[in-house]
Amino acid sequence: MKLRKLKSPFWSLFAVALLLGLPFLCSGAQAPRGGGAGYHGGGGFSGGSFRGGGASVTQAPRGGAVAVGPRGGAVAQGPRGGAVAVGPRGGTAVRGPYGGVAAKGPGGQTAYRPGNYPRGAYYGGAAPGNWDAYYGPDYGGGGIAAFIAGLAIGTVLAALPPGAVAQVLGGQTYYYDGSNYYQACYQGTDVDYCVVPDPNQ
Amino acid sequence: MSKRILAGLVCLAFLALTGSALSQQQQQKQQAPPPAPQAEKATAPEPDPLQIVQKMCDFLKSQQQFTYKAEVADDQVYYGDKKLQYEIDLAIFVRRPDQLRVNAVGDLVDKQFYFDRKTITLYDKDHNVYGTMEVPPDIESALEKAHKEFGIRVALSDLASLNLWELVNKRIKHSLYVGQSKIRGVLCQHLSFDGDNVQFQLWIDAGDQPLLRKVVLTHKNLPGSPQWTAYLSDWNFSPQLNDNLFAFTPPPGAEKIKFIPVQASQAPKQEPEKKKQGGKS
Repeated sequence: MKLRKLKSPFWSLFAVALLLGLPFLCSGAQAPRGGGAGYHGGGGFSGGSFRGGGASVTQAPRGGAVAVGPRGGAVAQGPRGGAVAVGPRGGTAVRGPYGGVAAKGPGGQTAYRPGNYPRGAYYGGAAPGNWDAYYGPDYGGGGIAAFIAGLAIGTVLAALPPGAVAQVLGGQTYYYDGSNYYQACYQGTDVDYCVVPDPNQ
Repeated sequence: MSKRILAGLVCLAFLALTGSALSQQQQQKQQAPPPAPQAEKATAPEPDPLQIVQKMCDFLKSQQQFTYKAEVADDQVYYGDKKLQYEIDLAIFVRRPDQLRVNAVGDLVDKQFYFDRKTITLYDKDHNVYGTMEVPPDIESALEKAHKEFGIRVALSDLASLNLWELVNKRIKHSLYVGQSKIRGVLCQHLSFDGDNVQFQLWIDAGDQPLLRKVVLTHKNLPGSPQWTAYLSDWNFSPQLNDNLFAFTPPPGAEKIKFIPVQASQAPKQEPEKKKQGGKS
């Protein structure tokens, strides 16, 4: 009703814009804090280093080009890995050199979440307020984790597949997803998950 | 009549134009003082940005122990080059020659880095895990080993290195003295350096102590050109540092994990196959 009282079209447009923008701003309050990170970044904990050379963030895009990065490239082309690893722009479920958290969308497990998210949708269409739709990668396909099978020992994943269950064996925590055993490991300063030999053998 | 009017209008227009041109010239003369410093800079010997950085490095090198803090804003780039900026608070403690501690607490990070004489430890509080490695007993060699062998780089820890100047200088392809600038009220020299992939902007205190006050790193070749920005503060050159600060004691339940060597992970097993497919035959 109040809108009617607005005299100029500018103000009504402004009011509409404000109303439209509100949910966006509000959902911002619960934005990706708690795990989300982009295809690559300014360096995070490893940023602000004056060291060059090697496969540093300065040379290798994080996440987005993981498939060709010196680390994790193996996985992108691994056994049935194409399906597993390839996301938009080659973004993968695997961490890039020194840590692009490509696999971890806001909430931490986006990469492994099944389903299609519309690209560029502000509110996520089917999932209102879901930041994955706007900021997260669109993996354009079904569940990724279901296809991770028989990964080579030493393969590094940025996040555990869903359903991976923790087990403590000999004082060490292992994660088992029905196909591979994983252990937390440092890649640079990031905590990732390495595929390890079956500890029961 | 109309011709006269036209002529009159033309005259008026001419007067108006010349008048405005004149007044512009006058204005420019009046405004001369602001551009003047630039002109002076062009003629007067311009401060050498590299020299300023070297002074900063030398000053830090001469300090036996010091602490500082930094407030970091780190860009993360998302689909469509959209960016979100995350915060990290850093606290850094240096005691030469063989002790260093970095605390980093932020939106996405909660880590502690320890270098205590012969051991580096990296503790990740979010995962409650830590890794350790044996390193040579001085800050420079320890950081060098951690970086070369395990790809570890810790934000702003290089300021603790005696090799800081070499590390910086090595990467600079082009340097620029931008001018003076106040960072949180402190007069600084604003400098810019180009590396191959990163542009560094440094703001160094113009006062008695050439301290780093602000850093902006622009990853110019990455999509979205993410920036890493830090405001440095609380420089203290006579801190009371307790030995416990540098010694890591695993918190309850913390699990020890491995660092993946750079070389191992840089040689993906699928790489050779790819080369074969590439038609090397």
